Amino acid sequence: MNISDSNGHFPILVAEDDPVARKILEKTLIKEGHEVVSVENGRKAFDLFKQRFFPIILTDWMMPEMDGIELCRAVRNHQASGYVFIIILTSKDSKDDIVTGLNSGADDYVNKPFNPPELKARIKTCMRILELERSLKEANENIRILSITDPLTKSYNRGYITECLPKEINRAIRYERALSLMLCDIDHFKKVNDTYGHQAGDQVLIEVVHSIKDSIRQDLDWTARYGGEEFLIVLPETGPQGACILAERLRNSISKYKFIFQEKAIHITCSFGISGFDSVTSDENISSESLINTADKYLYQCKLEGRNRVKAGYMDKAQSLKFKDKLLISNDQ
Amino acid sequence: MNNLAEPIDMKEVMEILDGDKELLIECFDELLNSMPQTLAEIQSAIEQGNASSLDEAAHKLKGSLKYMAAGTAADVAYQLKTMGKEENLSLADNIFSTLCEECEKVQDFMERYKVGI
Ligand SMILES: [Mg+2]
Repeated sequence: MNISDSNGHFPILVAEDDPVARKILEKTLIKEGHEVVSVENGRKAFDLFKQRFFPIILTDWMMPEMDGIELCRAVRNHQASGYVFIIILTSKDSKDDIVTGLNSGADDYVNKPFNPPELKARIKTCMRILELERSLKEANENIRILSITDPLTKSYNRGYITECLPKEINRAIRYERALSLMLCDIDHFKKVNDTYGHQAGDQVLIEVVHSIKDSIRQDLDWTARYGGEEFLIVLPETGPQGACILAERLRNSISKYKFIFQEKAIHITCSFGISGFDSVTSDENISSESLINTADKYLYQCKLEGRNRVKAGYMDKAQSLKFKDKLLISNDQ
Repeated sequence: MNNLAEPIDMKEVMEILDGDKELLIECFDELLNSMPQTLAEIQSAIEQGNASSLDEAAHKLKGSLKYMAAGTAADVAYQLKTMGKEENLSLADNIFSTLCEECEKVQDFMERYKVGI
């Protein structure tokens, strides 16, 4: 999220009941290139803040309805999308209260009537801090992405499965929605490595992930590397029947695909084990483990029956919540 | 006879406004516009013996006057604010008359300035 404009200015919310002071604040800040929204008391400022995030708040102390101190506390207690830098304006005669202001959550204070160069300098300090916060957030986000990404294929990794699959399952159960899991394993992958080398194997893995990503819904479905040449595909809002159709399509296209490595064509096939449900009302027997184990069981069946095929199990709420075989297309080439 | 000191220190106000003459006129208009009402609020607070309303209204007027470098008038407003804060309005009537006189001078000054005298 980038909250500043292209020149690094941040929108500022001003709360000041004195119309003369408000006008001077507005104009001084606008001249500096900031977007300024000003209101005449803390209550209005907080109402506005709840609708729109402002990274900088400049507030007077004494105001009707809600004063600056109450505004500071309200903003600090509110779940905001980023850090809010609060500057409180104090009269010289209330200097004793500066400690109260800072303790209530203000980051800085400016004496009234303020001196424009001083105010501008204070805003610059606050922009430096917000800029620092932004770059830390960005770095954090990059680290987070790295921690859930498989470095070779750029699909998610097992850590992501552990983090997100239980959430997908809970959501599906709570809203009685469909959910399917698919384990896709490359058949005889060791042969690819042995025949063409590990670089070729790596390229096959990368391209298989591309095929998977191309055939699932970008914003809803996701895929993660489950093991060496095994990928988990999670399909919310999709029952086992739909998952089978998707798997069959993928199986077919991968089996026809020519992976080119150093001008040599490599042919591979994949096997797909599926588990899932159309809707369940109880979470009995349903967990990441049970769904993955079931998919794995059907994947194993595919291997036994000659590979390059799709097999699925499903849960039916009318039944005793045990996985049943799904009679399904189990194609050979 | 006119006072030797002007009710508004132009050098100081131009510093506060960073030399912005257009902003000065806007602020003068704002103050000319809001002052009568704020004075009325102060008067009714005194009449009703409402100390906290006096504190608030006088505080607000003092703020505006300070920004406009109207030192004398701001000081008088501050006296009234203190009376409100300390809940002692016994002399408030007298001080309010002084405030009205000082504010009138400030008003006159702003009006004159606007028409370029
Ligand atoms: Mg105020």
